[in-house]
Amino acid sequence: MFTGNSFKKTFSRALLLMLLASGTGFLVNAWHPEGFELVSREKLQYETIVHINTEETRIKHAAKIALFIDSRSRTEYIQEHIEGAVNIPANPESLSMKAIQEHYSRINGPVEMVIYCSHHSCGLAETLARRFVTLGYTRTIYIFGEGIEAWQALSLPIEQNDDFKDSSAGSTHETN
Amino acid sequence: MMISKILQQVALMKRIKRQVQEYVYGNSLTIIVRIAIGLLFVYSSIFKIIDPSGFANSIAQYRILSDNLLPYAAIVIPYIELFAGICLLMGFNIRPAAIAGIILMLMFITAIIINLAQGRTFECGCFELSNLGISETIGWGLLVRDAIITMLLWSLYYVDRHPFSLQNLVLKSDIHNM
Repeated sequence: MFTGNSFKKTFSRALLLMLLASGTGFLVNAWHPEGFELVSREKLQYETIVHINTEETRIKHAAKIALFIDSRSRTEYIQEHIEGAVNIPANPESLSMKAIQEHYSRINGPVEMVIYCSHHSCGLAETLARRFVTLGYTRTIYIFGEGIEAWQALSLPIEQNDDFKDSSAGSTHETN
Repeated sequence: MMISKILQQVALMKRIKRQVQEYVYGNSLTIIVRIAIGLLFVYSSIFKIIDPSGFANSIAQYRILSDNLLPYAAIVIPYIELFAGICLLMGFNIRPAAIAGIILMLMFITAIIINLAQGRTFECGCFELSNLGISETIGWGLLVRDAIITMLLWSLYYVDRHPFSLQNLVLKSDIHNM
């Protein structure tokens, strides 16, 4: 029957009613023109991380308004890096923190941060950017996703170390 | 003199008792209370459903929920109101709807008390009655009103028979078919 005699039964019916109502609410919200966009807390936390393309990166580099950060390892950085970039390796954490301390004044200065690594599927830049956010950096952090490979392909300014140049060329030949 | 006064009081008590019995058995007052609260719930939920961000803003004024929880509350609360209101209005699942309503009202009352204790006053946006020209500024009056609505919902829980309701209709036809 409609009226349950025991309070427990009625209470569970009440909970069911509320659950049903909530479900309808979320369903309608998905279609509502002024509905809420429900985002995960993680996404909200890292919303200051912005991905930019090669052209935007080139403009920032030419205007000298950005601090370029190479998130790859020390050796890779020494071989070649975007002109004026500093090295803050994303992994391991201890090295990363040490490098951040080393470049602390420049990071906190009036510059935009552009982090890059080797190419698109390289996650080091994202890792480093998230580390900055967790450390309390609140300004926008730019990630140059296409990385140093795209930069080199357009023959934009890079700094190379000649001692490593030959060996690196050799290694790429080997892999090819 | 004394005796007549006592007798008067006894008569009054008897009348009140009789009224309560009639209310529980289901009289016109039962219908009025049920439909009035049902209408109030449906009416207020519609405005909240049409303008969810406005409702989120009015919840935000209470400074109880954190920003990332606000949308969830703004999505869920109006529909619980709507569903409970429809149930009360049509007259089915009245007890569960009353309990759901009581839970909502207790939440509102707690929120109002917390803000009153901090000495903050603002338009509460609870039933959107400001659309009808009734002020809904947070204060003791509002607290009393919400408490009365809660009591009425609670009383509906104890009613045995709801005249002029779907569940009564079903009950009647069941008895008829026996």
